[in-house]
Amino acid sequence: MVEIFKAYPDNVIKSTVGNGFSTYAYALEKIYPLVNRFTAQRKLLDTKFYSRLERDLISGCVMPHITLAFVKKDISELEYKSDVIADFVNKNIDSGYILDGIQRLNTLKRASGNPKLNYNSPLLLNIIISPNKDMLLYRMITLNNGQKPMTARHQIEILTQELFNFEDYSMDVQTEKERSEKIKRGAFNLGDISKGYLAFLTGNVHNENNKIIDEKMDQILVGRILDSNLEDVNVEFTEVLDLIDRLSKDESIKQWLMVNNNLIGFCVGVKSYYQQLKNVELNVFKQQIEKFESAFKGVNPSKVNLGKIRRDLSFYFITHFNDIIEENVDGLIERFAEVTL
Amino acid sequence: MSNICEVTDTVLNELSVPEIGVPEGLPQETLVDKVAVAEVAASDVAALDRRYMLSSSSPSKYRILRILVGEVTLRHIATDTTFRQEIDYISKSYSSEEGVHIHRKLVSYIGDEISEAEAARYFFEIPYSLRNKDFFQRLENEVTNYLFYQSKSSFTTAYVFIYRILEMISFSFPMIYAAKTYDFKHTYGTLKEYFAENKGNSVGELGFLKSAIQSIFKRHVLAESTVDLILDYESEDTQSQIYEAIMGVTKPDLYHGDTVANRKIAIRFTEVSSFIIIIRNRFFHLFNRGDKNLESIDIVDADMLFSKLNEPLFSWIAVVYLEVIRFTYGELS
Repeated sequence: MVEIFKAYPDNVIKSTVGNGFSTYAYALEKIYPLVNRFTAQRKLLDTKFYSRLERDLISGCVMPHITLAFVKKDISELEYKSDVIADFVNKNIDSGYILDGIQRLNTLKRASGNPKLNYNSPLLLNIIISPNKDMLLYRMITLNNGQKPMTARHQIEILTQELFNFEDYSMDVQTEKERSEKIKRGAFNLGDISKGYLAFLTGNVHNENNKIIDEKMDQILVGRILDSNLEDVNVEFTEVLDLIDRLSKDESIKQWLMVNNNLIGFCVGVKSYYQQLKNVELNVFKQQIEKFESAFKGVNPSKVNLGKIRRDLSFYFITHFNDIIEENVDGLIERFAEVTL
Repeated sequence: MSNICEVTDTVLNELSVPEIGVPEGLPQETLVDKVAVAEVAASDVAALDRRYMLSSSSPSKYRILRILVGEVTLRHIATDTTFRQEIDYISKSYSSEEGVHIHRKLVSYIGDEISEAEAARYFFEIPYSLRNKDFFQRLENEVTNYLFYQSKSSFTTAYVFIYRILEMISFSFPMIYAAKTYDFKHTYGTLKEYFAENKGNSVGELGFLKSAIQSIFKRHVLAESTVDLILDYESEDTQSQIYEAIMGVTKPDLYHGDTVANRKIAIRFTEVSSFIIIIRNRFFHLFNRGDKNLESIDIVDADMLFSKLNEPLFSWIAVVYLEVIRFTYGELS
């Protein structure tokens, strides 16, 4: 059982945040399995620090807080009441996410092999219940920023799969692992979608740069996410996925979105242009991307910058969608030329 | 113009040393390894374009970049002091292929798609190699001077050369600006602003250097990163004293949120030039205008202060220099 001491509203991520406790026994039975929900299991760190913690747990230390998160559309029903929240958490424990403490739970699991471990020891918990997934990810990145083993990019890759239920869509999404077994024709790559998600979160189409060392790139990405004022954005990534799913019903639009650089530009563009696009008709969108492709040929980018320019232009194309409808191909080439100068 | 330092390849040097004395405590096999590595390197070089090997006729433009990438031995001519520069200053920001020869690595820093043969034209062939020859030669002397004083642990003196390098690079900026602009509309006004007379304050100079850097790194991803000064002194007291002293004379908007009080000062990449200038102004002058200065009592010891500043700032200089090289490389037709 999880019990809750107290809960408060978090105005930044519009969530309910509380603290409480459970026991090692409950944690091993109910919370530890959530670690394994991550298909891309984070590598176990076998550092001195964790083996020290393992010994300390057996001798009866109190483990530092674990942070658990849940998504609930309407959090006002919880009213910040401890017992209501505890009830919600206990009922929905299987759909929780571990935001912070995967390594500690792994250590607890290792320690559980030792008969000296006291299963009734308290395990302290932080609980976050958030109305949407983007907020959760934002908090996760602010929590874990600075932790070496898991970069922001890595977290987003893992969480894309965890947070969004691709079963509900008519489009197919395949993980790298599934692809290696059997490639499904016409399926989106999960990795491509998570790149789109990263672009959505950073509000920037250029998040990859293999010339810059990882450490610096990660600092830059976290900075972008923190500066992107997620709380003021009126569209969630779930809605973006819904739109992609709807547009993909047309085969040629799907082919266009399956080009990852187009998808990246689309995801960032839609962040500020969602209202204008959400009801766009398939044949209108299809004609527009045909125009886009004809104009793109006319821009004649150098091979080196091809991907970069495609991202820039697809972003521009989405954020000027209604103006571009009026343009012919030549007019669009001119616009593109100005943007890429 | 003659050079302050003679610069040679460290690895090739070791080949020409007839006998390597065994330093105490060094196992014998390491030494064998060293000789083996040197031999392999020598045969590599033979296979490569020999022009990449350092000699007294290497153009300064190339030699500076080679110095920044490391594995060079320098001899300070006036004092006949030999010291090594083993740090790859570029690698603190840019990744490179693992285990490639240093010449390959150096070329890959300029751009992904460039062959050594192509880069050799830019570095060694007339007319490219003669372009701004004087400028690069003067710059080389500033760079080697910095390294010389740094190697002697004369950190305060070394800092003066960091400042001088920054000035030199920035004043070559109009060419870079003109080469980068696709919109001549505001060119006159912009350039005029940079050359406007200083009105007795440092705004002009600060503004000039800063616009140079901002123009060079416009839309560059590194502009969002930081240069970190790690204050790892012997005691917490010293750390907080130096931290307070630096913070006391600079504005908070120079710094990034990754700054940790008394431990790490994370300077925003585009503000590094301002940081260098402000520190220089507050330390090398004692203004009587009521500005706050770095008083001797505040900074414990000058060399101690600059010992934590120089290396990270010099890494920044290295990245700026690389960017200048990339611009002028773009003129290669």
